[in-house]
Amino acid sequence: MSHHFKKNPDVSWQMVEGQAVLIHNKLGEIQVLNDVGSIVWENLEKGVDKLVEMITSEYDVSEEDARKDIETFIKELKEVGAIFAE
Amino acid sequence: MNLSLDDLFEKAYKKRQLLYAFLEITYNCNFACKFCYNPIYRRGLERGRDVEVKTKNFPLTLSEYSSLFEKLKKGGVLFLTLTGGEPLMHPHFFDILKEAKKRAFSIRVFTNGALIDEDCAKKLKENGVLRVGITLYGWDKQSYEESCGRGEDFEKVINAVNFLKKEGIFVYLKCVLTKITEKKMDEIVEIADKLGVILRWDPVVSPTVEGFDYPLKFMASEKAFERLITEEKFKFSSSPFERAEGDSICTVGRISITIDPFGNIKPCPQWQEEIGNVRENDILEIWNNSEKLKEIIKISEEIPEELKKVTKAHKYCFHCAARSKLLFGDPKRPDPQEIKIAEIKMAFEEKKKK
Repeated sequence: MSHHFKKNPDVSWQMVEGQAVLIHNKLGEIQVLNDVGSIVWENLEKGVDKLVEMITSEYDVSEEDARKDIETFIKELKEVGAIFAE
Repeated sequence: MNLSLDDLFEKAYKKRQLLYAFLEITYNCNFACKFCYNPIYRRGLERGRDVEVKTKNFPLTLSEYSSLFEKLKKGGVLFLTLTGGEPLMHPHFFDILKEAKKRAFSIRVFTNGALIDEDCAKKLKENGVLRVGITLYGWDKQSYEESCGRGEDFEKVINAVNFLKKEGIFVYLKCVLTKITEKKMDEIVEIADKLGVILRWDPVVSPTVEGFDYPLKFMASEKAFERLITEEKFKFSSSPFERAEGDSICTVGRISITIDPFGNIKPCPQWQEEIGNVRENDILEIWNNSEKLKEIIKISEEIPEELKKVTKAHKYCFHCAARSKLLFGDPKRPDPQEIKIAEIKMAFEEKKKK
């Protein structure tokens, strides 16, 4: 899995009360990410290693579990076309 | 988790997050609507108000827009509306759009549609425009001539809707109910139906931003208001009748802000009071700390009580404080026209219950 990603420019987004609100311009749907998802989205360009570091420092989770969760979430974002691998 | 626009709106409203920014990027316009609230260039003149600082006279540059967008993104804005005048008249419209797209805003354009050909629709799509709101001024060439002096553009507007739809841009129509449009309300609805787009009516004509009330001569008849309220097929531009008890009368100062072509910051497009200028002030500082903005929010909170004093139909009244300020010099003063519409609505609702 590539470790660097960029947001699809067709996705409009903003942080509302600490949560990422995404609007996929092609689908017109509004999605709200959970707390961890929001950290991943906001800091996506920093790469997976940095994201793991951010999540483990914020939440009581092992590095292994955090990495697994982040990679699953990134895979989902890729599948819906919200992000691309660089 | 999926969220409705209403939920998002409520979230932002409660937190007072700056979610919407309206950018009047030019006051220039290719139309000359007789009832326009913002007819700056119609007479070939600039805004009549005095401009205290000379530099404010110059429209914002592209790099100033770029810095502004950076601030707005940081400040929480998700929805950015480019309006005017006619925004497509701005010589650098697409450059501004490109700068906005870089910040991942959800971009909407308010336009009369006449300048949107196939190529323009493509460029709007490529540059991230999600929604286009087109104002419909009539139902044929003649009514367009009567409303805005641009009969020849009626067909272009209809074509624009199709070009935008082809590009997959969400397009909707808005129509101001006037003495002219009330003549063929059904035909106007049919046009939207045939095009397969939503049409929302705006029932109230406003005075000009300079306070002239001549547009009010074009206010529709009571009979037309009655049709608009009582017939299912006519939809409003927003939902003025869905205000809960205790709700503030409008969202001014709570989720949105307006910036004019010269960088002046205004509470809303109609509220003609500058609360800062992006060249001199940090817009987020203005949003968070402007005493004037706090005062305006307080006014909007007090309006429901003012309405209660004058009409039993107060909860159906969609009082526009900026409009009352222009009309009467008092943003809290209830407008008899708005009260009349509210009373028609109340009578209709009571009749339905029976």
